[in-house]
Amino acid sequence: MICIRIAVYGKGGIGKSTISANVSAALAQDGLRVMQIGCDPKHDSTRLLIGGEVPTTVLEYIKNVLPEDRRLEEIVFKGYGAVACVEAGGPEPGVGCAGRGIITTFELLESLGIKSYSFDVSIYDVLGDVVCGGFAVPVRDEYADAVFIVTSGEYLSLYAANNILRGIQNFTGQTCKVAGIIHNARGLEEEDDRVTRFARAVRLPIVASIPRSEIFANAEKEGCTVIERYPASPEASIFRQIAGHIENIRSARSPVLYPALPLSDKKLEEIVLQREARGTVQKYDFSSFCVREAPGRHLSGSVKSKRPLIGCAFAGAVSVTAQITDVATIMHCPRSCLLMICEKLLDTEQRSATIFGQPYDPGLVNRLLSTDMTDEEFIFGGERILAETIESAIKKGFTHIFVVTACPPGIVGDNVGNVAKKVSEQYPGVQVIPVPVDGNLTGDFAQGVLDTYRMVAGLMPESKRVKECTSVNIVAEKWLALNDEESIGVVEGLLERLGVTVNCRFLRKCSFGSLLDFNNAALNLPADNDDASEGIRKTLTSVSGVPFLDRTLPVGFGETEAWLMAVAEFFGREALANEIIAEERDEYNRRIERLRPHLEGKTVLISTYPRSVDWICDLAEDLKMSIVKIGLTYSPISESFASRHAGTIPVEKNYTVDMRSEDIRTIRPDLVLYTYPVLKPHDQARGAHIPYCPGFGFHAAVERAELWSRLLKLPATEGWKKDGEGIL
Amino acid sequence: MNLDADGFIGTLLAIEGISDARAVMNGPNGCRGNPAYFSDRYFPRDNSLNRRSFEEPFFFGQSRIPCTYLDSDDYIHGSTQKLREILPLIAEKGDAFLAVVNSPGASLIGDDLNRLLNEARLDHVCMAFEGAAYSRPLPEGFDEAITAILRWLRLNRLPRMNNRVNLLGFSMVQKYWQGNIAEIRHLCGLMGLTVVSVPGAGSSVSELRESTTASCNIVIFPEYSRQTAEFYESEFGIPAVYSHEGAPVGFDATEAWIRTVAVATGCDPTPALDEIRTRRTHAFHRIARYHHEAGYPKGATFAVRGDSSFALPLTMWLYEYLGMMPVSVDIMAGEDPNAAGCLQGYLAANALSVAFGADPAVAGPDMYFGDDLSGKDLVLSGRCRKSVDIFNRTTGDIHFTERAFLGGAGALWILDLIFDVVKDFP
Repeated sequence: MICIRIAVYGKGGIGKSTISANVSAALAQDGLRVMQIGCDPKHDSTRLLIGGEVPTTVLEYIKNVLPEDRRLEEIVFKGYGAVACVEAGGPEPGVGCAGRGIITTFELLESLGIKSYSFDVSIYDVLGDVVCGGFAVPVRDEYADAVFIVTSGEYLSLYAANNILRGIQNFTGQTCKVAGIIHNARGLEEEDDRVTRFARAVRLPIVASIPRSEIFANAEKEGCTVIERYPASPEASIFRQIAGHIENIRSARSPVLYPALPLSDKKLEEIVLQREARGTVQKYDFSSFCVREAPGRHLSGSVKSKRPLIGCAFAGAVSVTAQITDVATIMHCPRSCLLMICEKLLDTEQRSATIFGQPYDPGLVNRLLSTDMTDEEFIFGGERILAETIESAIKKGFTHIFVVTACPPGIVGDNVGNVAKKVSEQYPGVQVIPVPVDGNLTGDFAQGVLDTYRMVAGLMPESKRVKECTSVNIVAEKWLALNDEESIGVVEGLLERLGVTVNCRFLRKCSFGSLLDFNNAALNLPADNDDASEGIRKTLTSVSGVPFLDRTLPVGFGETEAWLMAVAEFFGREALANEIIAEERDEYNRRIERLRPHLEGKTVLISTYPRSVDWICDLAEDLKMSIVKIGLTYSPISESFASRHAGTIPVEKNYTVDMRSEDIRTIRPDLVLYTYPVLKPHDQARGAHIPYCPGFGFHAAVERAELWSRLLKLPATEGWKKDGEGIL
Repeated sequence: MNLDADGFIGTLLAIEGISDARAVMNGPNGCRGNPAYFSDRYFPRDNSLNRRSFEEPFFFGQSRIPCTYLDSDDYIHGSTQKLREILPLIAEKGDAFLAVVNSPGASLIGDDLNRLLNEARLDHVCMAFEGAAYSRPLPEGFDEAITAILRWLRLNRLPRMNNRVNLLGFSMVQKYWQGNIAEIRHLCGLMGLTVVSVPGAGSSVSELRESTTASCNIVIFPEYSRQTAEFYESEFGIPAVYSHEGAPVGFDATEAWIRTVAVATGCDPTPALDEIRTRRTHAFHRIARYHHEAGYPKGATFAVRGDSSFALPLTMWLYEYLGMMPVSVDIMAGEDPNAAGCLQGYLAANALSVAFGADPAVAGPDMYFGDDLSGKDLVLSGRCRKSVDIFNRTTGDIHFTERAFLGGAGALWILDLIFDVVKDFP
């Protein structure tokens, strides 16, 4: 005889546990070795076999006992007829992920060697109206061999039964796995007919019909099964009949398993309720409402267009909150999540200090904390560990704390807002600010940046008043390039020469207080004008009256000249600006004159994802170089492309690596400037990378040209590249 | 903040550490970038100049650990569709072994990975990890993964041959992992031992299949391999050899390790010990001719934060051989109880208990042996003179010459590092 594993599914409260326990008891009476596993968080499947609750559920056990100390006999209990009883258990209602709990239960039982004990029959009693993947685990091939569906004649019960068939079909396709329907009657009118019609439509047999009977309540009152308490009753014989059916399946005496053939919802209604749908459903009309406009959430390019998400909102959010130097950021996540962003943040900080001599921020490590969620928090919820971590941040002296969430807390539904509220109530003066980006559930890296800027902007006191002063805010700087901090130093230097101070860098290496003082500036200087920056601008203009300069931070002489004049005009300091420009022009011209003999007349092909390359075009013009084409490659962070030079330089969209290679072969440019990917060895061309952040100011661009000049004197392809030939 | 990579990364790197295997992540792109970059950097296999671009589905411009780029829709509806698309594409790459690993979020969906593998007819070449050691120590995740893989491969019970051994506990997460393996292979060679396989650290699937011919398993880092060793012992009767003094770091521990291996295998330790003797003499001449007015390195302070089986011999060696003072000794989670106990006992016996678990930022050591981000943080904060990386990170340096921390070659390299710093001491 082979071992057989049976899953019993059905709507909550339909009587699965009573049926499972009675069937287990009947099988045990036949001398079979039976195990029953309750897969319902309310852990009452085996109650009637044991005569009460199991002392420990599997998930409680996992929570309380170290892995190396775990033993099978501590979670398997002896019930009536020596039935082995196991209850998965689950988290408290409203927290954690019970589905994950089922998966973990099965993994633990397996790791403790349950498979080496050959029970004749194993019965999984599973909650059926929850349809997430975890609850479907018992249906999988490695678990159940056959599935019984318990239903009454109520529509919702049959609806659940049909849904269960859908789940089974998803997992098993056309494989025959369903043993049939067990009708647990509620005593309704026409109930038998409904169940029969449904069974016929899904081509399944009704293997047993259990009438409504007081005997069940009586047995339950005494904490035992009908088989045990009323063995001679007609009801007991029905359970023996189901047990016999199982033995038939086990011995494969007849073809007793069927495929899952669920009905569409419409068909189900027609068959069960015997009525047709009520025609077309109309859309709701909102036009009669008066609408108050709420500040909108700006979506990143990838989220808007449902492109593959690059990075995650969690990392984007942390990269923003980590910039605030006196605020703790708690990452509510498994440890692997924090590495994705924190390694980069720390490395950038460290290398920026090492390479560019920037002051090192030793507080960065100290203000980043993580809850290090494990499987236990996935199952039971992570609110407790989050509260503990917030308290540890408070003990470190932080009074403002951001909590950024990764995917798992979002999926299991941790109520971060509630935790934050409770802690804030307990510690007056402490502000805990949830940033519920939920990993990549809300979007990509850029979306996390946008959402967090919005969150922080919401903390600022709203003011539409414009202050008369000579200070500015720098808005939406980038911070993942090593030279960012040095570049912004150049901007600050120019502003200083103009007699303008920086009020707040929103959000880069700033204090929490400076954010709240955001409105104490006369002008906002946007660092960039990409989609994310534009989203940030819109967010800020909804809460602040500080105007934005219509130019981004400048790269190269031409852009810097125009930018400086624009700032100067705003503050009425044009004369000062002209003096600065004149001084810098001399130096710039000297550098250009030195480079021109080497670069004049050289042809340049640009291959870039859509991003402004005007600084290159301006520089090429000054050096009398010729740009033959700008090829715009695909990028997951692609944005619209605009250029002052678009009319004079050909721009080709959807530019591929192969097209670039072909252009290199036919046009033979002297220099190829590219963002990504690198040139192929067979291109045999001289290339230079276009930096993500070329730096700001009058001389940022010309410094790149000094590198181009050197590259043009060097071999097109370095010798080491040849050694890669033959490596795929 | 604990910056140690966790068991999830350990699982991925265990798979990626098999030379002809590939990990596939069922998860978001954001989860995959770091380990994919890590694997490519520290165990490069393909030609990075031939890479395509972000257009390539599932790879997104990175050659290792393709992923299903799950998004919010997939968390609700499951990742079946993307897995159905990715599996045939990955299969085309021709790897000898594949493993799909669920990201933390994907582990909550409950997709039946095995059914999909079966459906794609890849169940003979691809296994599924529906969960991993999320937030648990990296070595645990590594060890569990290697054990699961060996079990899944259904290794044959082959005739065991004298003088053939496997090396257990190596991982690409360890700095100079390939140099370390080369040094240990070299010492084994001197003793007449052939290394059959190094599971999870460069060996191919066929070498793993051959691993059951070994007469014993030499466990270098038990944190990464205790379960693996137990698996070989219980399934194939292959005994495991542990050195009481931890990994062969420094001359003394290396000599102890050679003797332990010789006793366990019955081979002659003399040639290997002779080589260590030669290296000791070489070191002696250089140290003896070095002069620092203050007598350094004796009296210089150090901190170490590493795996227990590495921290133990390093601490003992620097203290006894060079007279350096441990001011902060910390072992990483997932420690080997024997090594951890020995280390604490050793410090106590030398009245140095205060160093155990001491914060290096407070202790202010001259040298810090640990991970590079923590080390650089100490250096840049002015709390340490020199940081020595003993782990690889995505942010680590590139090296061209094969270096090692283990064996005689490793001892000399550690001396190089120390004396290079000490010469600049005031």
